[in-house]
Amino acid sequence: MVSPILFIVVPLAAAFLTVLVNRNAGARILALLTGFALSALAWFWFRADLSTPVSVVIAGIAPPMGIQLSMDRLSAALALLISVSGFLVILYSQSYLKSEEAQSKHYAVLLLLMAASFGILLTRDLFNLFVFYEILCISSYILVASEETKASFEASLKYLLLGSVGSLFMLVAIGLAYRVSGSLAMSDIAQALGEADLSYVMLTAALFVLGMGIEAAIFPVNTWLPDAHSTAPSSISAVLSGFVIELALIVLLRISMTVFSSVNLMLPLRYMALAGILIGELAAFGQTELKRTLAYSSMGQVGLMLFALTLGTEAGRQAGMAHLVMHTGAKSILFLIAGYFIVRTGKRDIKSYSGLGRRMPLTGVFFVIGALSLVGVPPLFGFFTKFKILSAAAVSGATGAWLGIAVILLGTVLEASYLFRVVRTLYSDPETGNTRAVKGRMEMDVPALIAVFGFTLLVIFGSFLLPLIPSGLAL
Amino acid sequence: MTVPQILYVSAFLLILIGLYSLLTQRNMIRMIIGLNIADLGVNLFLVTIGFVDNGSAPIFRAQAAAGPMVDPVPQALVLTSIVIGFGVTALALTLVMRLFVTHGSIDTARIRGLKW
Repeated sequence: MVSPILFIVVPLAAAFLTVLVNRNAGARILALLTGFALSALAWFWFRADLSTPVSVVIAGIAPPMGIQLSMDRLSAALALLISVSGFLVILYSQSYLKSEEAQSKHYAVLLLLMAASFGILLTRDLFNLFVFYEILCISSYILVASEETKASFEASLKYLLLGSVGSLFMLVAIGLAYRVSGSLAMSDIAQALGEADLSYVMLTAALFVLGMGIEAAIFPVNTWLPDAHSTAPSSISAVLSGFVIELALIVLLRISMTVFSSVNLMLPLRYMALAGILIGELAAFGQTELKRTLAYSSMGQVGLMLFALTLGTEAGRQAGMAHLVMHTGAKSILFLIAGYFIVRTGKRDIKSYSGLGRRMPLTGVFFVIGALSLVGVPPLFGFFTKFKILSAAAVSGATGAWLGIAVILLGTVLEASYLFRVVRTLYSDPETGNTRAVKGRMEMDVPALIAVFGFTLLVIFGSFLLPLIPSGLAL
Repeated sequence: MTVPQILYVSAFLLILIGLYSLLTQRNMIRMIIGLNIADLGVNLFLVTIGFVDNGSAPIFRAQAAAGPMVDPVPQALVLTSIVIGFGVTALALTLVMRLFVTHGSIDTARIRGLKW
């Protein structure tokens, strides 16, 4: 039996090795191999029978003193998503990163980010969760700043200040939970909090949700997202928007449903989700830069997932998970291609991309597919997930479900209008004065094309995966 | 007031002072100092959770110590939290340094590349 701890050990070891190698070529190959190995490992776990979760105890010390990792079907599916999209992003970075940069550091931090992602997914110890969460945050701050432009330093510092306040809150929540349970294992805390005073649990839960919610970009604490996701290098934007916020969201929900089960967090979270959809989509509509538009759209999409996951029904959770998988594919496509638009034109605003669709034919097609799926156009994956969310909301009978349906439909209209505006610009005639001396093809490089093609396959054929996507949020 | 009560109140006050200065200061170094003060408050809070009146240090000895011991787990947590706080502070100061090089200022009001 392969131990789930390999998910944390392999990328961590590879990250340190990458720094030791310190040569661009070596680091690239090492990162690529690690990504592939992780994908194979995740595939093994995805295929394995996980009807009863497999748990390992670290260093032979049993919980509550030791740290327990547990692999269930949900974790296995998310681990597969993380490792495959991580692998594709590393593949994309092979041609996207400028060769004069110190690439080994970049790959090392990216691998660290992946290790932390697996960590928060697998751990069943609240303090261990905090440690992995901090690793995740710190490596995101570094990656956001890694383009070393004015705006990226600013975005990174802003993200850091908000993230640190979030982790303070989370630490206080962990302290409060430890105070009543005398243990850090999630199952013990869940039991102790079940018997504790309701207002005490509410305070703990609120602090925890605020803290973790910053990384998950839940509505009132998501102001860092548009800056951080738009100024980061595009490969990193794809990672951050593609799985980091979603992962934080799932972990947040799993903990609020199991550990804080005695207070009902679903209703406030649902309204926060709806506010997130409205604000995100409206703000995205008003943007002129492509990456900023996409970042705001992520804010809306996270709201959409959160809304479905907090409906409180099995169908809702399933739809939310499916939408999460779809969003990883579609948003990664859009961000990865936006990166090449910036590389090829040197400009960030949408209007300077006019005519690019004809000069990058394949890339243009992938972009259109990603955009269509994000909006939810029928044969693509996005249609099925959005349809499932709407139908789950309609039958759930939950408070605010119909309001939610209205908000989602409004959000879809806004999304369609701003994404189609981009698509129209891509295929319009270049304005005079905007035409550049470079003529002919300027397609993306081959590794980037392959990576984007991988995500495109997910977006086109994702609907066949629907029965395989698990929805159980248990400890 | 008992000792833990005093400690809880001071932890709460430290967190408040830290968050207040984080929100009101425009000098980025002062904001980071505010963050550190709040961090200190959280650490104090965690240590206080494990506090036992007249408790001895939780060190394993051949013969069992007379009297109660303080809870060692929160102390281990605080050690980890201090290390993480140190790392975050170092990174934040590095970013401020680079921002000073590119913008020539550490005042958030003068750094307006993005919307704050």
